Amino acid sequence: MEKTNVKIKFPSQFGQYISNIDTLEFDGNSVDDFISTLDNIYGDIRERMFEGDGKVRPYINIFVGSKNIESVDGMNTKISNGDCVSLLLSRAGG
Amino acid sequence: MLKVVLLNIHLISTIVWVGAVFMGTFIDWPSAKRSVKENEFPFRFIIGQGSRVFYSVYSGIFLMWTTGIGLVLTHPPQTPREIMMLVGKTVALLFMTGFTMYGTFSTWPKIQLATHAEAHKLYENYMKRAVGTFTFGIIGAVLGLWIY
Repeated sequence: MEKTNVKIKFPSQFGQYISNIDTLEFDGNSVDDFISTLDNIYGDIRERMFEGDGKVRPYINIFVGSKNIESVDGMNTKISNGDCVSLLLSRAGG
Repeated sequence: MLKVVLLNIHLISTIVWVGAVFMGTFIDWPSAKRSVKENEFPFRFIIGQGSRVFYSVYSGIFLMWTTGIGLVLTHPPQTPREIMMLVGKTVALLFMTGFTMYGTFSTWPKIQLATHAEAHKLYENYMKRAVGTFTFGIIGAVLGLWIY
């Protein structure tokens, strides 16, 4: 399987769960492969980002480059070498 | 006339902010908790509610501080009793603002990325601060009514 290298830009609240890494090399070339790798290495990642039915929590936005994966191909969105995967949370609180 | 306008905006922003906190704390949370299985956290509802309440709450905070400062500048408290009440009201407002901003910048981002068990624990602490915000809101409002 091909290997893909990506930059990671996640909020600091999430960084603690993935040892604050800012790059990752993973097997495959999709968002699903990327998340699976994080989940295998650090655990609990899917539970933190996905609902019981496997969909990304509605207030979590995952971007590959400047594109929200929901507007591309969801978890099957392709990631290329050197892409930046980022995560944006909803503004909330009262 | 200016005093009446400032006072009314101040009062409405208090109702919006304290009302939103009341709704979230005493109505929404107990209902949301019962709508999911035991040990699950109602992420969809709670984060959805938090996103919607964000703008009301911060509009309330902004308006409350600006109109409050306006009222103090245009009608400064005259007696030692009024000054004491104003100090009390300002302290209450500082606690409310502090609790709210702590929630926005620390608690809510953590909840959005938490596991179900973690979210319950985070929200438990958040609820204690929300009750504090509500209590300080009532105290501040009552003191404000006595001053003006």
